[in-house]
Amino acid sequence: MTLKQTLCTIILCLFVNKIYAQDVNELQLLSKKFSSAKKQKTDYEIARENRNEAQLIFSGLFLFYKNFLSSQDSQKCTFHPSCSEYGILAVKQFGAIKGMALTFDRLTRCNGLSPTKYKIDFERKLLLDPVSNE
Amino acid sequence: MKQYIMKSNVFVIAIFSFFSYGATSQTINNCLRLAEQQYVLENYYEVIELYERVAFFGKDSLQLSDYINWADSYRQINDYEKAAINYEIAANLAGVNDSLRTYFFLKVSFCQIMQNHYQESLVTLYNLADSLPEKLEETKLLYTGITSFKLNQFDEAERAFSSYFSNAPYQQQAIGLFKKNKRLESRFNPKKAKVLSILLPGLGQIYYGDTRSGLNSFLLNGALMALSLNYIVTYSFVEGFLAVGPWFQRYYVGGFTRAKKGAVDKIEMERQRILVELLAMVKETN
Repeated sequence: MTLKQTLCTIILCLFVNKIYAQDVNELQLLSKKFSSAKKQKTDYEIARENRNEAQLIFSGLFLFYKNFLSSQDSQKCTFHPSCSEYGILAVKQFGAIKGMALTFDRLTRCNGLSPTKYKIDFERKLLLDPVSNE
Repeated sequence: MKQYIMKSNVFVIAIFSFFSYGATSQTINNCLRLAEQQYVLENYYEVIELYERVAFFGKDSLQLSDYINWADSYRQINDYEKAAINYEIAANLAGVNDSLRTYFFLKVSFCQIMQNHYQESLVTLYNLADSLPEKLEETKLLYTGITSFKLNQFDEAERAFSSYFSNAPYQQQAIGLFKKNKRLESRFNPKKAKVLSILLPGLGQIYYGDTRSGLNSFLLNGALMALSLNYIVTYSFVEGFLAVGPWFQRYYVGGFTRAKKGAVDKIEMERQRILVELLAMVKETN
C-alpha cells in the first residue's frame, strides 16, 4: 500500500463517524422507493384533450371499454399499444372514418399468428405496432 | 513560388515548436483534481466523465477517495449498478480497516436494494462480520430486515427489525405489524377468492375488498347469461351456446382469474404498506 493510500485510509477513518449522517438520506430514498411502489391507479392519458365531438365520443367509448369490459377480460392483446389504445390514437390522428378503418384492420391482425412481421417490445413482452399511415 | 511556400511552412513549424514548451496536455493528476472540485460543486455527471477518463488512461492512479467520489456520483444520478461496483472496489481498497470496509459493503447492499436485487443484497449482508460497531450493526439489521421482508422471509425480517428497535414500544409495534402480515395470507386468500368467483362472479373481488370490480363482474356476467338464455328460449340451445357462449366464457374465466390475481396484488400492496410503516418507525427513532 502506498503512502498516499495509507493517508487516505487514515483520514477516512477519522471521518467515518461523520459519514454515518448519509444513512438518513438512504433511509429517505428507501421510504420513497417503497411508497411509490404502491399500486397506481391507471390513468388513460390518451383519452384526454379531445379537439372535437367525434374524439370526445370515441374517448368516452374507450374509457367505458377499458373500465367496465377490458378490466374483466381474461384475454390480453398481443400488441403494444393495445387494440383499444390503437383505436383511440388512430381516430385522433386520422379522424373517425380512417381511424375506424385502421382499427378494424388492427383487430383482424390481433391474433399472434405472424409475430415475425413485428418488432418486439422486450420490456412489455408484446409486439410493437404503433399507429402509422403505411 | 514553391520555395516561398516551403519557407513559410518552416517558419510556422519553428514558431509552433517554440511555443510547445509552454503548452502541456491535461495530466491524470489535473483530471483527478478537477474531478474533486466538480464533486464539491455537485456536478456529478462531470465527475463521472473525469473519473472514467482517468480509469481509461491510468487506472492505478485512482485512490480510495476517488472511488468513493465516483461511487457517490453514480448514486446521486441513480445509477445504482455502477455505484455498487465502485463501492465494492472502495471496500476492497479499505481492506485494513474493518469498519470502513463494512461501511462500504453496506453501501453496496443499499445499492442492490435500490435495484431490487434482494438476494444479492442479502448475500452481501451475510458476508459481513458478526460483531460490528453500533451504528453499522443498526444499518446491517435494517437492510437485513428489508431484504428478508422483500424475499418473503418474514421470520428473519421480524428478528432483524425486533433487534433494530431497542426501544420497547417500537419493538411491540413492529411485532404487531408482523402479526398483521402473517394474517394477510388467510385474510386475502387467493384460492378462496378464485373459488368464490367461480361460484358467483364478482364474489371473489368483493371478498378481498374490490367492491366496484366485483359488481362490474357480476353485472357483466349476469347480462351475458341473460342474453344467452334469451337466445336459447327465442331460437335454440345451439344458437344461444354458439352466439353468446364464447363471450360469457371469456368474461367468466376472466372474472375468477382476475379475482385470484387481485387477491395476490392486495396481499402485496398490504405488505408494501407494512414495510413503509416499519420504515416510518425507523425514521422516527433516528
